[in-house]
Amino acid sequence: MICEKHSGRMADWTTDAALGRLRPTQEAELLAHAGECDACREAYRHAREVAAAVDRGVEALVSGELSPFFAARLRARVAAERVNPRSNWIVWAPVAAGVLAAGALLLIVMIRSPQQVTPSAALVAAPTIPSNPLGVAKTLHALVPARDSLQGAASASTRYAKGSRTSGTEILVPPGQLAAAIQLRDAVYRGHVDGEQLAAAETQIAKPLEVQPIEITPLESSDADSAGNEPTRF
Amino acid sequence: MAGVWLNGTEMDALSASLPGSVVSLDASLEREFEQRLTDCPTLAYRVALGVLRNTAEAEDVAQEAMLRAYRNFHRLRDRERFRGWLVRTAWRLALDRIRAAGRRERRERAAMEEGCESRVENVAASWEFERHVARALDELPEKLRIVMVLAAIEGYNTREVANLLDIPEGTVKSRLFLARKQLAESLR
Repeated sequence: MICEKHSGRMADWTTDAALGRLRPTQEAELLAHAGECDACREAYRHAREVAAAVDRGVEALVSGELSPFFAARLRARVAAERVNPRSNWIVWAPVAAGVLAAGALLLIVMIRSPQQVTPSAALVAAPTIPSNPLGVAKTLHALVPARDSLQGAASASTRYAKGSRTSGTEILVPPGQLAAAIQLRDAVYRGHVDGEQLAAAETQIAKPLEVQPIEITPLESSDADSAGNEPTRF
Repeated sequence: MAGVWLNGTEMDALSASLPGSVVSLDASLEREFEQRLTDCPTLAYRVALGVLRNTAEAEDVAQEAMLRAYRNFHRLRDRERFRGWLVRTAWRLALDRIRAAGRRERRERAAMEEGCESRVENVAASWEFERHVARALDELPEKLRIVMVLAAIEGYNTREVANLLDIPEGTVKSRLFLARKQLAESLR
């Protein structure tokens, strides 16, 4: 039996009504019509059955439990991941790069340091030195302990990387750098940072400095002029 | 010389007292991940099952999704959204697996289905209907399909699906309606 009056529209409405998305006014019209029309009443009933069957069918597709070995297998893979982290070096590369960059910077500072030559020679050999030598000295004073701490951390890191985490190993922690030192130590201990590379950086830092001797021509004495007159003293 | 010399024991003690320090954070992350291990793998498995419909392959995908979650766990800012991240990852991995299977496997599967059709009289009607549903589900657009699969997983209503997919609940409702309508029309 076919409903001639509402064949097209009612077909859509029955589906929408079965899925619970028909507007109330339209649903009322559909139900009123279905009360009089056997074809539309049957279509509505069929649509509801199909909608329910669809839900049951999809639910059946996604129902199921994991095998009892799933958790054990996953834990084993996670444990393997902990022991041999995959591409964690990428995460820690910036830290290592920072350490190496700091080492290179310290090397440059140490090479150019005025402490390597006598003060009088420094004035002659480095005429472009800042007008505030006291400030430079302060900067160097701040950097030298940092270099020592890096060496300490690197050597300690090497030992940690080899598997010994003894309480006897000491690291020099600069003021305010405790969190960073702990982070570096644990990264090395967990194998996230290659201790051998840090050790290599340490040898770069510890390389003896090569200071080229500077020949200084003696200045002419200004204590007495050519006429033998003594300079005026105040 | 500025600074202080600390040995391993002293550093352990200090690191435990530091708020948000790496050691304590790692430990808490490990604990949080252990908690996720108890309830989230089933979700990943069912999502993968909705795409693959093969229990062994779905388990493989769930394993891979959880392993990726472990690798990236420290980067997930909002821990509450972990499940949403896992659902999307499992979904992508399952789709990738299907795509990687290639045309050859699809042909084999189609041949197998044809073989099944020849025995259709011996197969239970419910199984047959389920197979039709699976085929119709595969033909849905991806946005509709993932909503339909998640809504079919036991215990997930439209609000929870919206949270998992990070979309408005109204969008979930309309997509769910369209998905069910297309499925119903293809199965009518």
